[in-house]
Amino acid sequence: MKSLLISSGRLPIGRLTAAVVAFALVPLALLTYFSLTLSSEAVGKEVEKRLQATASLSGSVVNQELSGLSDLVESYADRPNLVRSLEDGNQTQIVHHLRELRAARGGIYTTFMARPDGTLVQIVPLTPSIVGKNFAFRNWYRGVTSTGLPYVSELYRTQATGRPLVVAAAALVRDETGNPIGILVAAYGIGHVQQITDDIARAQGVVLKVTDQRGNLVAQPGGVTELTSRRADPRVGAALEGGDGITTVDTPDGHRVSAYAPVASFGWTVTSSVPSDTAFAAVSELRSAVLSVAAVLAALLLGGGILLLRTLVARRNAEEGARRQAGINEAVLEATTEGIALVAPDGRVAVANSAFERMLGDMLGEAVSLSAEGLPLRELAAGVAERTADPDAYRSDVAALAEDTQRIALDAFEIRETGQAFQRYVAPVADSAGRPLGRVVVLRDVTAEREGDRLKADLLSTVSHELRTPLTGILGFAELLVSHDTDQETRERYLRTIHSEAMRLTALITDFLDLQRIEEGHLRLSLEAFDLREVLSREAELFGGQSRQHRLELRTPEEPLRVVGDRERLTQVLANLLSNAIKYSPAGGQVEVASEHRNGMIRISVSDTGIGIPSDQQRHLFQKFFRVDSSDTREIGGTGLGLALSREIVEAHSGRMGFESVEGEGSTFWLELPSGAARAQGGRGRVLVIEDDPVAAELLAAQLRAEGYAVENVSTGEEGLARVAEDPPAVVCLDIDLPGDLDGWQVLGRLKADPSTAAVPVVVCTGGNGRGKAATLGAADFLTKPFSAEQLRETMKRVLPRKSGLVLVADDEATVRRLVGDTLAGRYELAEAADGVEALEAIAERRPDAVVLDLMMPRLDGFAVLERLQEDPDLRTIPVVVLTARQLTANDRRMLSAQAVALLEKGFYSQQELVGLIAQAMARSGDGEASNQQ
Amino acid sequence: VCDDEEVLRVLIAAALGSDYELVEARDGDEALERARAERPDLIILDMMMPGRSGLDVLPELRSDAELGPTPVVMLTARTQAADREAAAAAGADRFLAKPFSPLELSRVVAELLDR
Repeated sequence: MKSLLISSGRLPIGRLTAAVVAFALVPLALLTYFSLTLSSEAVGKEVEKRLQATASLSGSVVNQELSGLSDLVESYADRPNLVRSLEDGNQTQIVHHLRELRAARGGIYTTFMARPDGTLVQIVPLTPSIVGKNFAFRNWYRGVTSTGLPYVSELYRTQATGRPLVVAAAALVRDETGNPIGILVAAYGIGHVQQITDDIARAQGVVLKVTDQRGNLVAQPGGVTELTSRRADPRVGAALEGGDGITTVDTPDGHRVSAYAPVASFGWTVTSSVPSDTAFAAVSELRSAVLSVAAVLAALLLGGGILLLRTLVARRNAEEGARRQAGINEAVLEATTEGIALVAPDGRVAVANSAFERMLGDMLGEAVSLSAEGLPLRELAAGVAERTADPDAYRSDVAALAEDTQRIALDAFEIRETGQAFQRYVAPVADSAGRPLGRVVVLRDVTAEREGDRLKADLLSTVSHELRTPLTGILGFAELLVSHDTDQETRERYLRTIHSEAMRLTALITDFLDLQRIEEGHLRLSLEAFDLREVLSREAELFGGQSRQHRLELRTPEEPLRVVGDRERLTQVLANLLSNAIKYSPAGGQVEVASEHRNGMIRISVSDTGIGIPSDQQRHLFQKFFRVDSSDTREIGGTGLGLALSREIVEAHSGRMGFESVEGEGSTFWLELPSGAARAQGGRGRVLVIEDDPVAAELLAAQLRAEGYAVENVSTGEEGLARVAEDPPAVVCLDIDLPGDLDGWQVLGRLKADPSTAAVPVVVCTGGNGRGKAATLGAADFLTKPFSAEQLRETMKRVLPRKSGLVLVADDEATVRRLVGDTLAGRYELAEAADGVEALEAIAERRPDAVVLDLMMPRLDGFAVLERLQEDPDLRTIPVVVLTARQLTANDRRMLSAQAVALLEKGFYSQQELVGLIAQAMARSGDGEASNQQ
Repeated sequence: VCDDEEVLRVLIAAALGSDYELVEARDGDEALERARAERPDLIILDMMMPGRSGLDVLPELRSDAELGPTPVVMLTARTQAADREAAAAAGADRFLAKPFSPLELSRVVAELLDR
């Protein structure tokens, strides 16, 4: 098919989507990552800077505080009045100075004066109990005495009232010569330092801790109430040694970022710290902001991706649907036998199926390939026009079409050379919106139809001619008789001619109607089993008697030529062949009829030494009304239908018919029919009677026939053995006293010794004794002559093989019932029905295991019977073999397929086939209902 | 008288035999042969014969200088107008459709010979 249907590749949706995600999400992730990294670095630096700044700020504030304290104490120590008071030992003045100093600055807990050896001179608030005690063990003492400079001590717990933790600022009091005469000390509560650091810490959002020069904690969040050494803290250690820096520490509360710095001049340390998560709270905030933005972006991207994916999938599905529909359309276009093309408005072939291409090729006399670009149809049409029988007419048709694009046309044309006839249908095509798509051109090859019409017309005129000729004779002579006075002799001659012409006309009409009936499938054969030898010898005698001028020789085999067929019809065939052979042979010619078994068929040939058939006419021989045309045949009458009819009849019997002929030497016509074997005979099976006494044999045969058995009689043991071997009967009735070399016992022994015949039951029928011997030798039963019909019946029932099922044969024709019955007799029990109603009654009453059903029956036809069976779940499973003379349509077959296991056409099946089908059906029915219900 | 059917030749003989001398032919070739030999005054020609049909024979008769003017009665089983026209075109003087009346035939023959 050349089509312009758009085809597109499958979209790689999976990969496409992955690419979109990769291209969009990866940069987003990178952006997020880098912004987070950069911001956290920046924030980290900012935090560190703040911590360090806080640490150093705190350091300097503490330094100022301590310096202020230290400077204050030093300034008091330098007071000349105080020096004098100390030199004078004026306690009152000393107390006064101490009080002044204590009041000079908030946070001073006690002030006191000690001698250079560390002995307490005076203390404010006054505490007489400790005056005179030596405090040289205090750090302030060691600090101030070792350097001689003002000193701020380590933290310690004072012994003064309340025993608070204090630091002491000490300065030497010197006389005019510079010799130390006392030490002035102010014990300073650390609450102030605590307050300062708390303020800074709060303002900066950090944790500040301050230690003294020993590493003892001076200030921390929540205050200091105990002496706690923090020397072990590496930050404190480092700061004690004068270093500063920043570090991250793990504490039980988590990661902390911490800065440390020394407090200048005093050896104290400050550490400022924040928990990492707090420090990076901004980072996390930023991070979560970035992440949420990223997440939103990613979600949008993914959502977009999914939407895109769904859109693409939907589009692909739609495309696939469209493609599939296009595929269906294409397949439909390709499956049709008509050439179909869509011609676009520009005159190019847009779509064309291969039938169209082929037909166009036939028209142009050369193969045409309609490429995808489409050939302009007009060019092709011009080429076709040249080859039509009437190019002008074709051209004017095409021109009319070109003129009016809405034109709907149905015309036909013929190709001159080939005689092919085409019908052309052209109609405009529009899409669902009404836009014109072009026009569809449908081509149909009507050559065969035309030919059929021509043949029909020829046949009609031939029939007309053939019928009118005898009619002319009849009417003509009748007219002459009426109109002229004729003498007796002439009158008789005229009347004889009228009679013979009337006979000829009758034969013609009969043959013709027969032939029509056969051709239409309406021929009904009355089938029966018979020996063709009878027919052959009777016909040979008849024809031999008619023609004294011919020698007629008949050769038949000794064994019967059993066929199952329509006796009258087959007789008609043989008569036709014999009549032809005699008619077409010169006087003195010889006609030979031979018959034989050949390859399971029965072959009958009729040879003559006549004029033969010219080879150029041989192929027409079986045509209706054909008569060999030569000067010698003109005088020979005949309808010209005999051979055509004969062949139809033979073929209706599943046979074949043919001839060999040499012009001038003679012809041999032959036919082959399927051998009906000997199976089909007599109702309940065939009994072979081996009996030499004709009276006894006839009596037995009559009794058996009355019981419905077919009977064959031979008179010697040898013949009997041969017959059983050749065609085993259902039962053998064996006489003991037989002529010839074999007696009954020997025959019995041989039958039972041969495996191929041992299964045939043998009933010994004798006037003598020997029941025991018969049983020993394997006889099935023993009958002593004379016996009654009753005895015989019982015996036969006993010995016949058990029948394995009931088969109903439903057919309105008794011959068919008999024939089928004969075929199945001995194998199954049989029931018969002559029409559909009877059949249904019998089925309901006896529920057969299988039904052989005719379709065309009175009262209720086979279709209706099957329908009723289908309605009944119990009967639905009965296998049915349909046997019909009717030609079945596809629809018929469909209707039958529900229950029928096989369809046999009357006259077209063998006995073995029927037996096999019934056996299969029985077997299947035995397998269980399920398999039949399908 | 040219007809492949014996019974019709017999019938024609019965109808015309007492008044005219008859020559018979059984097919087209024989008809031409005998016509040339016997020079009949009138030819009765069957249209439908095996081998050469009446329609084949007639133009040949007409083209023969001597036989050309001989009146021809054509017999045919075909009654369609087309056959009638074909017979006329081929040059038949009269046309009788089967089954024809022997009396009609003898009237036609008499008429043609009287002219």
